[in-house]
This record gives sequence, structure tokens and C-alpha cells, in this order.
Amino acid sequence: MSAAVAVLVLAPVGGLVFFAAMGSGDLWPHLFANVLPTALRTTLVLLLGVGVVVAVVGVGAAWLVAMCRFPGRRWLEWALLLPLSIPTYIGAYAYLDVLHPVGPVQTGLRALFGLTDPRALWFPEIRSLPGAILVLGAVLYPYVYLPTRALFLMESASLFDAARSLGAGRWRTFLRVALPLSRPAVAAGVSLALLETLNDIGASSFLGVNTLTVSIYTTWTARSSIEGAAQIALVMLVVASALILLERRARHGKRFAAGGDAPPSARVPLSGAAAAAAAAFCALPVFVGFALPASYLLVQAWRRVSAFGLPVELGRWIANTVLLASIATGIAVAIALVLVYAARPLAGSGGGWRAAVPRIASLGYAMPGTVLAVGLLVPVAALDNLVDDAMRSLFGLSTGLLLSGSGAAVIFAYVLRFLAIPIGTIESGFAKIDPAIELSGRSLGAGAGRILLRIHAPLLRPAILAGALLVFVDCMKELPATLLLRPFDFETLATHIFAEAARGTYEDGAIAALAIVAVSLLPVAVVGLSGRGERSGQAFRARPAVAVGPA
Amino acid sequence: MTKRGKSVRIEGITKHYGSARVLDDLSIDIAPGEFCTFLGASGSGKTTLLKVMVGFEPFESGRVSIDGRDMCDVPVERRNIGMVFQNYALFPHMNVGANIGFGLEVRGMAKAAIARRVDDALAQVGLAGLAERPPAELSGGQQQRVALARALVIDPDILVMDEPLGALDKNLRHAIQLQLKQLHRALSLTIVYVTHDQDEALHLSDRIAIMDGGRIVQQGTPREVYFKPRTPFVATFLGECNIWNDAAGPLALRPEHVAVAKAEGASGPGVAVVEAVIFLGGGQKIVARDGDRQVTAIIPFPVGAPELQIGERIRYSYDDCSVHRFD
Repeated sequence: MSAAVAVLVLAPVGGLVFFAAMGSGDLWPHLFANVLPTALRTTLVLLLGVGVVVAVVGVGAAWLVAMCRFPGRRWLEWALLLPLSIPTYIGAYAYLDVLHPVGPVQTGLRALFGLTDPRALWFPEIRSLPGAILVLGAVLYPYVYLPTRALFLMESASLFDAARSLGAGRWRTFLRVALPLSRPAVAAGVSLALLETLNDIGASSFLGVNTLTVSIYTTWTARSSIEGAAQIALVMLVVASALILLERRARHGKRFAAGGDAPPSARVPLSGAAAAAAAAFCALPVFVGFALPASYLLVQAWRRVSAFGLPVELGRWIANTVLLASIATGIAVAIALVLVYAARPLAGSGGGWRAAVPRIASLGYAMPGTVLAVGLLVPVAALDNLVDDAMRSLFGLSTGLLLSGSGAAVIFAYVLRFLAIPIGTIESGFAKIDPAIELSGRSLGAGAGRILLRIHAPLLRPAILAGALLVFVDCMKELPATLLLRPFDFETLATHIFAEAARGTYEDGAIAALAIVAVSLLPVAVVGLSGRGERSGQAFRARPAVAVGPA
Repeated sequence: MTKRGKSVRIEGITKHYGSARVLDDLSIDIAPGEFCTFLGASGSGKTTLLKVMVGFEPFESGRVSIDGRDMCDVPVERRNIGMVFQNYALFPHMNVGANIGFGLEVRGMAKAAIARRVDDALAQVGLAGLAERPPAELSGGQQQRVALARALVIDPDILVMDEPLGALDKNLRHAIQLQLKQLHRALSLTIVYVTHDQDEALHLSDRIAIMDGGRIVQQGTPREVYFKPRTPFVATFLGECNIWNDAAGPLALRPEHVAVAKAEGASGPGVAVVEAVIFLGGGQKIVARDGDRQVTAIIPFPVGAPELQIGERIRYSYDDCSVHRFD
């Protein structure tokens, strides 16, 4: 079982290489000369920009909220997580319309200045690389904020006290102690945000930014060249691997756990201008990353409903989305449970290589959805043809494309991409169970089955539920792989939004977008509440990356 | 580095966490150069008091002054208080030398001068030559001494220590206690020390303040608080103590002041039945029962005489002048 999963996870890479090798002929020179250099450059600039934005906002907000006292702090500490509920493509979708020349912002500004001609007012173009950096940064910074805040609260509080007692002021403590200490958390958070950026297809294509992902999509759909798409996907896989390696290097040997369990001291009170600046610094990302896009969607959805009622197909989109997401969630959680259980230290013989399987199985989260889709096409099509041929020669009837026609390919992609999430939560659940409990169970005469049922299953229930919730929401939001692998004429909430945006009929997608945001708020509330209870979000401390999950 | 430590005055400090009162109108004066220990169980408010003194925790009413100066508007980083933390709080991303030099760097001292002072400080705590090591490579005892050197090198007006020896094993703890005592005398430091370990408090302090429920229930020299406890709580908190009632009211009697003799067949007042005999190494502890009175005695181990057995009758006695009456 463990071996089979490891092979399945690596299958897409094999598929990519196969396709890329097949199509080395006529398209490659064109790609190499015209598409790749610009797409690669655009992607790298986008990654750099988003990296800087999420690091500055995430670390800055984490420091202020964890260490200082200012009006609104308690509220903002929690609200800063809200943008996690806005998928990148929905953020871009909202801003396109809000900042449109005839949208509310520019109209309002013109009214303010008494202008009538839409071209009389200069306004920065949101459909641009800087626009994309801002929109992506505004919804992705929580990946940095969350682990960094936990680190400041849990691990380093007494170190900050020590620095202050030695005479270091706020700024020096931040620069000399907090910043170097937060490096592992920041590296993990930034790399997750950048993997999301790499994965994003909606925001980049809505905002007219031709990234590698967008190139894969257009090469596949517009040029119908799966080989060309595979070649670009290979380049992207290299970029993703480079990101992972960079993250490893940034964290290398920096697993500080020095602080111990000393409770943090009272926060430093800020007053006057400093307090106002701190509140503004923390409120701005909440406004840009959540409040504005969410309220826009709310207004648009309400307008659409009051004018035309709910879209007739809404029920079907929701049913499709929930069906795919729940099947994928069930499979992912079951696989994760088996893998983690087999890899636990007490599992006995063979534990050595079995312990590595969860790590391999988690690699999927680094694979952008488009890459996964292109890579999966080979194995899936091969299997489809195999089954079809067999059925035809045996029974004389054609099964058609069983896997790709039924949505099984989409589910397969979801499981591969999000398997890391339940593995992460269940592993951290296991880590909290003292191995001595299992030993004492055994010494009292319980066999392996009874121990799993009577001891581990009840103790792991919260971890399993948390993992299932996170996977479900991530599957619901998933766009790129769904877009490429879904059966013909099959719409989910996410693909529907993409289609409406591509058509330019923004208001029609608002209801679907609102539904996704509403469901995505669930895990955010869970994170927020758990963080409140113990002042830290401890559950998300050990593996902040995977626990929050690639959204 | 030889200057006299400063005085600390705490006046009427009250502090709540939510509705729980952790410090209750607490006052104490600590003289320059004094070694003052706050001793109490966890939750007694001792660590909170320390944090209030250093400036980490705000409080609702009262005043903290150092050397006669109100600290109300002075932030932690300007108070010049050296602090040794319970978990040492060494900066893991700096080597030992950089840790010790951090406070001097903050004070704008030149690099060469810092290096010299760091070497001196390391020699002072017996760790010469370890400046380049990362803290994680040191043993617990060595980390503790780096933390001490880091707090001392800034030439603090007050040295504040929060359960600094709690994580060390017994022998090491005793060795460092001795070093600390010598440093205190040599440098005329004012030391404010927090611990829950009564032996440590008795060994180190010029004065012990025993805390309970956010108040100081008694303060005085180790001898005073040990032999003249003001309440049964203090008596039993500081070492073992027999608390009995007689016609004149409650009395306290230390077990080492109780004498025991075999009394086969005897009965009546002053005779008890042995319930436990505990070997202490240096002596033995006898727990016996005389009616509703539990008698604990610590007596020398008998040489050449038969040992006491459980169930055996003993006659216990004590000198009247070793009996302590509560006020």
C-alpha cells in the first residue's frame, strides 16, 4: 500500500517527461524563442514581488500583534487570518470589477473631483504585474503571518524579555533578535505563498499576467499542444523544486526551540501616533485582502439575486463541487491514516522506509495544479484506452474514456495535490499521543487492532476531522487542475467563476464566489478559535505549512 | 565593576489578571547590596512581582523605585537591571560571546572593548575560551553561567534571578550556589532572587520574603523565618515542623529538636507508637502517633543500638526553649 502510493504520487512526473519527450519537434523552438523567456521572467518577477509583500506584511503584522498593545489589537489578531478564505482567483475577480474605470472606486473618485470623462482620471491599471503582486500578496500573507505569530508568542517571548532587560529598545529587539529568529517560520510561510502563486491560474489570467501556468493553459487549450504544455510544465516543476530547495536552505539548521515554556510578558503598550500606525498597518491587509473583496461579492450577489433570482444551474454546480470534493477528501484521509499509522515509530519491522513514505506522498502539494493535470493525462489516458480496448475485444462494447470522462481524474489530482494536509494533521495528532499509551495498552494485553480502535481512533478524531475539513475546502476551491481535467461540459463553482470572468460577466459569478468564500471561512474560524484558546494556534505550530494547507 | 548595588523600594503594588488578584498591596524595601529572596509556591505571585519590578508587567496601583527614583516612566530597557531567566533565554542565533556582548553593544561600546569585557566575564564564571561556541553546544550548567555573565557584564544596578537553578542537578546547583554567594560578596551586588526551593533560599539569602496569595506573609533573615515562623503556614513551608495544640494554644517544634527514647510497655502522655522509620543518610526520621498528635523527629542514626521498629513504643521529649509560639 505504502509503495503503491509512493509510485502514484510520482506518476505525474513520469507523464510529464513522457509527453515533453514526445513533442520535441516543431513547437519547442517556438516555445523556447517566444513563450518561455517572457513567461519565465514574468513568473519570477511575480514570485519576487509576492514574496516581498507577504514577508513584510506577514512578519510586520505578526510582530505588532504578538508584542505590542494598541487599540483594536485583539480584534485584528484574529481578523488578519480572514484573507485565507479568499482564493487568489476570487480576489483578482473582485478587484477587476471594483477598480474598473466604471467600477465603484473610480466612479466615486471622479464624482469627488467633479469629473465626467472616464479617461480624465488617471488610475493605476490593476491588469498589470504590480496589480497581480498586490492582489496575490493581499490574500496570501496569512501563510507568513500565522507561523510567525505562533513563533513570536510561543518560542521566543523570553528571548525578547532578555533583550529588553539588556537595554535593547523595540526596534533593536525586532531587528537583532526577532527577525533572525523568525527566519524558519518566514521561510516556510513565504515558500507556501509562492507555491500558491505558482499554482494560481485565475488571478494571473484575469489580470493579464502571462505566467508559466497561464502559458500551459493556453498552449494546451488554444494550441491543443499537450506536448508543448508538458514542456512548459517541466520548466515549472524546476521552479517549484527550486523554491522547495531554497526553503530548506533558509531553514537549514535553524530549528530553534530555545524559549521553553516561559509565558510571554505583557505586551509593550504603544501610544499616540505609534499606536495609530500599528493599527493601520494591521488593518490595511484585512481591508484589502478580505473586507473589500468580500463585501463586493456580497453586494454583487445580492443585486444578481434580487434582479434575476438564483441561477438555475447553481444547484448542479454545488452538487458537482461537493461530490468531487467529498470523494477526494474521503480517499485522501483514508490514505493518510494508513500511511501515518504504518510510519509510526512503534509500527515494528520495516519502519525505516515506511517512515519516508508520508514525506514522499506529501510532495504533491508542491506540484502546481496545471503541472499535475498535464502529468496525469498520460497515465489516465493510457488506462482509459487499456480498459476500452479490453472491453471491446472481450465484450464488443466500448467503455469510452472511463477515468477522464467520469471526473475520476480530477479526484485523483485532488488527492495527490492535497494528501499532504491530512498527513500533516494526523501526524501532529499522533505526535501528541504519548507512545507510552500504546505500550501500556499492549502490556495490558490489547492487540494491534484493538489498540487502533480503542486508543488511537478516539484520540485522533479531532486531527482527522481537522484534516478532512481542510482538504474538503481546498478541493472546493481548486481551479487549475479542475479546469484541465474535468469531464466535458462539467461545471464546478470554481470553473464557473473562471468562465464568467473570461466572458467579462463578473456579476454573474459573484454568487458562486460568495459560496466558496463562505465555506472557506470555516477552517479560518477553526484556526482563529484554536489560536485564541491557547494564545498561539499551537496545532499549527509544528507544521504550519502543511496544516494550513495549500489553498 | 566594583560599585555598590542600588536599593529597591516596592510600595503598595496591586495587580490583577482578569478578576484574580495576583499581587495584593505588596510592599518591601531591599537595601543596597542585599541578597533578598522571594520564596513561595507556584501561583504565590513571586514571579509576577519580579516582572513588575523589572518593568515587564503593568500594575494597577503602587510604586516601584530604584535608588530612590520612581520607575513609572522608565521602560525596561533603561532600568539597567541584569536578569537571569529560568530557561536562561540565551539567543540561539548568536554565539556565547555575542550573547554576553549584546548588552554592551546596545550601550554603544567599541568592539575591542566589548571583546575584552566578554573575555573577563567568561573567566569570572569559569568558562574562559568558550566565546565562539553556540549556546546549544553547552551543558545546562554552562548555559546557566553564560546567562549569569550576560546579566553581570552590563554592570547592573540590580541583579534579578528567576528560579535560575531549577533545571540543574543537585551537585551542580550546590556548586553554583556557592559561586553566586562569592560573587554577591565580591561585587556588592543587590540581588533579587525568586525560588520555590526552601533550601536554596536558606543557603543563599540575607533576607527571605515568604509569599502566599500575592502577599508577603513574613520576611526576615533565614534564621528568623526558620526559628520564629509567624504562622503555621510559614512553619510548614520552610522545612518540616510539628504543629501541635496544647493548653496555651498552637505551638511549633522542629523535628530535629525532638528527642526519642525506647519505652517498652509504657503509656500515657509523652508516649507514642512508631508508624514509620525513614532512613535519611545523615540520620533518620521517625514518624509516630500519640493520640491525635503526629510526632515527627529527626534523630541521629543509632550506632551499636538496635533500630526502632514500626509498632514500637517510644517516649518523646523536647526542651521548652525550642518550642515556638505563634504571635
